[in-house]
This record gives sequence, structure tokens and C-alpha cells, in this order.
Amino acid sequence: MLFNSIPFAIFLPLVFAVYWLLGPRRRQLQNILLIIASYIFYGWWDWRFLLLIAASSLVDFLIGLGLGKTEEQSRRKTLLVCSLVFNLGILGFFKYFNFFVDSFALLVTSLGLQANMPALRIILPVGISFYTFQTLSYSIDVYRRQIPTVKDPIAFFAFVSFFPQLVAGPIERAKALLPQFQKDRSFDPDKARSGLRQILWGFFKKMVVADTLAPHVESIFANTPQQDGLTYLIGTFFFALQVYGDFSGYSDIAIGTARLFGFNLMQNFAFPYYSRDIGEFWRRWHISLSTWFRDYLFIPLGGSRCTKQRRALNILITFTVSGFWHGADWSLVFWGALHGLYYMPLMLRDRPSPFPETPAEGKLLPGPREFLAMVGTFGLMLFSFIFFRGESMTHAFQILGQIIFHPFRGLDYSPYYEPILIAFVPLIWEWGHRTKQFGLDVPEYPAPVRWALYVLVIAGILVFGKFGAQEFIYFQF
Amino acid sequence: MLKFLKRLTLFLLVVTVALEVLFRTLVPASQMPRGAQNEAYGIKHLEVSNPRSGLHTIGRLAQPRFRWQVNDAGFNSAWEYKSATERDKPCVAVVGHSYVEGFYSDVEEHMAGLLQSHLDNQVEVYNFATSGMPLSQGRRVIRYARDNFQPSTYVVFVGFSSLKASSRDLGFVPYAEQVVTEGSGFKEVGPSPMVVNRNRRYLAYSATIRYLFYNAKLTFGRGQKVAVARNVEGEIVDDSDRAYLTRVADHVLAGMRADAPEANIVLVCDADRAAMYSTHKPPTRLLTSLILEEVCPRHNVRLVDLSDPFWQEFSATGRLLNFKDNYHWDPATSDLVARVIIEQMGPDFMTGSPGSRPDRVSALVD
Repeated sequence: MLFNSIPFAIFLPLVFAVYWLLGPRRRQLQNILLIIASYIFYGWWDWRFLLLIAASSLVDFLIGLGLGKTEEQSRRKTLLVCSLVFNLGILGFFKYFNFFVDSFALLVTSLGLQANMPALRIILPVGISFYTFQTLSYSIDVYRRQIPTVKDPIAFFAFVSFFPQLVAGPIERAKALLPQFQKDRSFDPDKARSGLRQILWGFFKKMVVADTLAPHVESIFANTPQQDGLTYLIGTFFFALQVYGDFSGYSDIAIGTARLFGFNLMQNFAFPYYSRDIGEFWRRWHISLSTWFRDYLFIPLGGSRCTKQRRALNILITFTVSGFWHGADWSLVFWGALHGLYYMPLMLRDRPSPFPETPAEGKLLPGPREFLAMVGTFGLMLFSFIFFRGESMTHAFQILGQIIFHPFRGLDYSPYYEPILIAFVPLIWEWGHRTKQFGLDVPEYPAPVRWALYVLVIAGILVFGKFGAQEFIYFQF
Repeated sequence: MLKFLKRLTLFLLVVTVALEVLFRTLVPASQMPRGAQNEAYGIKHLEVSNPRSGLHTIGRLAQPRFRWQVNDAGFNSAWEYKSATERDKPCVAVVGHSYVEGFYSDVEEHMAGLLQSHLDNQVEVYNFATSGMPLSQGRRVIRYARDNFQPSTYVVFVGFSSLKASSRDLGFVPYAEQVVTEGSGFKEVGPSPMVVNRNRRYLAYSATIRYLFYNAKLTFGRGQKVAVARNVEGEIVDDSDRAYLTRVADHVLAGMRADAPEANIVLVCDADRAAMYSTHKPPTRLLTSLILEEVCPRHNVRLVDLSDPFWQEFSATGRLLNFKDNYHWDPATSDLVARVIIEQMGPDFMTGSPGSRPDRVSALVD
């Protein structure tokens, strides 16, 4: 079920009403309702893959119980390896099987040998990368004794399948989310109001920004030989805003929806395009994933407490794996590695950022140095997005070729004026609210102003938004 | 919780009111007159009760906007229709579908208005077009116009599917007469009665709902109305249907001629704009047009095919002949079509001068 669809518009109020009608002290019933609702939400897309979620939940629940019962280190390690093998195994099979087969076939062919590799038509289950990482985090945290074993299967199953963040995150840590399923929840009107505000802003970013830009991006990237460099730069710029609107919009809807049910999810985007270096960008972009990789890959590899060379290698490995997580394609692996390379100067400099925590803190506009740093970081992002959006490495290099060798062909750029305008409005608005959790986080505004603002956003969605129930980009990851 | 729900309800009320104001003023939602059915003739027309005028707006920004007006006869027209005894000029009847119904141009400038002004007001041109009209339904419209207004010329517009839609064997079209195979020939099947959907009428009072339906094309889960990617619909008839459709056309045109034996009849056939836009080459004529070209002379019916004029316009200006994401002709194209009809038929034919009109069609057919 898509957030931006009619079924969800019926589903959400219905589940919300039943959930709170059950009463604040009926935690178990509420959790059962959430499991049922989550399975309906996911099954709406393809019910067959519900078994996968159930299996993933069951395996990690049992492993958690096993870890809770034993102090023997070797046995604990075996249990953790079981969790890793199971979760990464299903992820590897569904997401990467064909990639490895194809890559191996290519390698064999390039060596002049005949390659008859099996090809399977595997459907990628929506959200598999997200919920497998979430369950993995539970097993690892229990193994590390950072959280206690959960003995309540209902709470655990609800934690894994919690529908607001099931298919595209935020990837919650067990230690942050699981305890929320284990305590009574009472209705908090302020939290619900804030949730509704965040949902509204999420819909605006998805339906107005991302879905307006999507067809332009699609058509620009589909016509490589016909386009000139400027068109590709516009297309890449649009893609940067599209993917931001799409994914941060999804996250806002997810976080807002969770708040309606009394849950707090972590902030996933913190206005990343105002970042002044690449390190800051990754502290503001897909925060739940970058911190996941930090905690469960970068730090176990040795993190920063090692030699510079080793640290550089750790960074490069972490970013490359992050690229691979995004999809089974060499261009995405390259994209990840490129960000690792972007990070190197920061690591070598090894000094704290010269800029304050918040961009242009206490000022309306940034100073020239800060502004240049923002533009530079955004430029690096744009360059990397060519590989992120390109269909393959070859396609990405074709695009770069067009940008360098055919920058202008005097094409008609007028179709892009309107989308540029539409995309800039929320960006400018968010600049004014960059210290907040999300763009419409304005509880301090007087009620009439606030309500007028909500009406404006709703009208904006109706007039400029796209209603075709477009899928979210990150579903494919 | 209760306080929260009360506040939420109040907020939703405020939003509803604000949106109603917005969609009635700054971004006016499209208004469409209600449809009705003349039971005696079995033809579709517009309801003559209020509202008698309004704005048809297109797209999310409600642009462009076109004024419509329902006259006493129940058609979209800036003027009232007079019978032959009440008027001092000959009359031309425009029969057809939504392309010429006049909701895609201001009421004074729809096809009937354009023909009248290009003929220097020597004739009165009456609009009898209603959306979705198959060619077979044209017979009933001609009978209605003949009995009430006695036109000397009928200009019948034919789209890519008008002929196919005339056959009940190939599919049902609501509120329209169709032909169905009987023995070795055909028989007419009358139009289905129009059912008034009261809920829909009540909903249409809300500008927001009209906006969502007509402007935003939101279908509430019934499948998004796909914006025709190539801006026009392609012809769907299969070449193997040609012989069958030729017989259908022959039957329908024979009926039309029998109903209006002494009037001039001209069919105006659309072009394959989709092919023209995508290939940038002169379009191949629609199969419907080729069939009509074969059948029309048998019934002393003239034919105007728009392939060449459309290609000339497109190749000279590069502009689409319809709205973006909407295959209806835009006002400039309607104007072009009006001029082409007059140019190809000549003013005498259009004004129905005695020399231009058929005497006894049966004799011609024989």
C-alpha cells in the first residue's frame, strides 16, 4: 500500500480509530492490531512476501532468546552468525543473486570463456533492505549486550513489521523502538498534531516536488544522444531534488504516522542540501542508514581509532558497501566509493568543521565562505548523482561526455522553468526552518497563521501535486 | 482525545470552506452543464434548468477557461434556435461529438459560431453536437433538427472511433442509437435511457469535488485516466474490420440520406494526429476516412478529410493541434477546420443554395 494512495487514506484513519478505541492500557491488543495492520499494509503489495517478514521476525526473535539464555561466548557468536547468515542470505538472494551471476558471467566472458549461467526471475520484495537491517540491529545489540532479550513475541513482531517504517525506513534501532512497544501508550494530542503536520509536509514534498520533477528526470535521462550538457545538469539537479522530496517526504510521512500511534521514530533527514561538507551531508542525509553503517560496519572495522591509512580504508569500505546496499549495480557501488573519496580530504585534515552546527546560525543568509562551501558540497552531490541515476556505468559516462563535449545545443529549456520554480519554493521555505525537525514544524506560530499555512500547503498539493500514486524511489532499494 | 477530534473536525471544516473559496475564485473548478435526454427523439442534450451558463476549465491551474451557455433547445450555444418560419436565413446544423460541442472554446467561437462568422452571417449555424456521439446517433440528431429547425445543410463530424462505435456488435455506447447485425443486414437499436445519478449531482455542487474530478482527473481508485501520451488517440479499428465497417457506414449513411433527402450532408473526418506528431511525416488517412470516401458518393454525401490541412498546419507551425495532454482540438484548430470546410465545400453548398442540393437521392443511388 502506498502512502499516497486512496487505500491508505482509508486505512490510516481506520487503524488510528480502532487503535485508540482499544484504550491506553490494552498494549498487547494494540500491538496485535499493529501487526495485523502492518501485514495488511505490506500484503497489499504482495502477500507472498509476508512469509519472509514473518520468517525474519521469528528467526531473530528465537536467536534473541537463545542469546539471552547463554553466556558462552562461542555459542553466542554462533547465534549471531546464524542471524547474519539468515538476514544477509535472504537479502543477498533476493537483491543480489542476478547481479553476482551477471558479473561472474561478464568476467568469464571477458576471459574468453563460455558462460552459461542460470538466470532467475527474482522479484525484489519491497523494503527487504530496511527490515533485514532492522532485525539485524536487534541481534547484534543483544549480542553486544546493549539491550536485553525481548521475550514478548508480539512486541517483537510488531517492532519488525511496524507499517509506517516497514518498507523504506527510517531503519530504527531495536534499543530505540522496541521499548516503545513494551510500554503502555496513551494518546498525546500534541504528538498527534505534530505527526499530522509532518505527514502533511511529507505529502507536499512527495506529491508536489518529487512527482512533478519525476517525468522531467525520466525524459532527460532516457534520451542520452539528443540532450546537451546543460539539459543533463538540469536533469541531475531535478533528480537531486526529486530523490530528496521523495525519500525525505516518505520519511516525514512515516515519522508523522508513527507519532499518531504514540511512537517516536528517529529523524532521517535534516535539510541535507545545506551541508557545508560531505561529512555533514551524511549526518543529515538518510541518517538512519548512515548511523547504521557507522555503528555496525565502520566501528567494528576499527572506526577512527586506528592509523590514517586504516581509517581511510574503513571509510572507503563503509561507503562502498553503502552504495552496494542501494542496489545491485556497479554504478551504485561507484557512487558509494565516490563518496568515500569525497570524505578523504576531511579525514586527512582531521580538524573540526570551521562552521557552526546550524548553517548560517543566527543569520538570515550564510556568509560568502559558508555559501561557497554549501554550493561546493551540493556540486559534489550532483556529480555523484549522475552515477546514482544513470542506468549503468556506461550510461553515466555517456552523460558526462555530453556535459563536457556538448554543453550547449541551443535546445528549448522552457519546459523546465515551471518545475524549477515549484522545486525552489519548498527549498527556500525549509531554509527558513532549518533548525526544526521538518519544514512544517511550526507549533509556535499563532493558530490562525498556522492554520492558514496548512490550508496553503493542502491547496498546493491539490493544485500542483501529482495524484497518480507514484511509487517511492527508495522502495527499489 | 475528544478535544483533539473536535479540533480536527473544525480544522477540516475550515479547510473545506477555504478550498471551496479557492476553487470558485482564483482557480475555478470546471463547471459542466448536466446532461438530459429528449425522449421523443432519443437524443442527448443539455439540461435547460439552472445553471444555464458556466466556465469549463482545463487542468490543475484551471487554464484555459471556456465559457458555455445552454440555450432553450438544450444545446451549448450563444443564440437561440429558430424554426424555418421564424428566421430569414438558411440554417446549417453542426452534428458531432465533443470536439465540436463547444466546451473547448468560448461559446461564441465554437464550430457553429466559427462557421457562421466565416460565412459572413449569411446562414444561421446551430450546434447539435454532444460528447461521445457515434455516427449512427447522427441519424436521430438529423431527424430532430429536420423536424424542428429544417436545416439545409448538415455538417457531421467524425472521429477515429465514430464509425466503430456505431456498431452494437463491436461494443455498447450509452444513450446512442447503434446498428446491430440482423440476417444479412442491420437493424437499429435505440439509445439506452439516461439514468440520473442524484449523488453525483449533489457532489457537483462542491467546487472542490469538481476540481478533483474534472481538473485534477482524480478517479478515486477507479484507475487514473491516462493522459494520452501522444496527445491524441490513435485509431483502434483493425484493418480486418474494414469490410464490416464499410457495410455499417453504408447502412448508416443510407439512413441519414433517407432522413434528410433534400439537404446537403458533409462528413468531416479527423486525421491521425498521433502519427503526425511522432513521425513528422504526412499522416496516413484514418481507416474510417478511407471507408467513408468509398461509401459517401453512393449517398450523395460529401467528405472532408483533415489529414492534409492538419499536416500543412503542423509542418508550417510545429504546433500541436490539440491541447497538451488532451486530444480535443484547440480553438485555433477549430478555426482551421471551419475554414477548410468552407473552402472545400464552397459557400453555395454551405448555405444550401438550391443548385447545390440533391433532388431525389434514390435516383442518384440508382
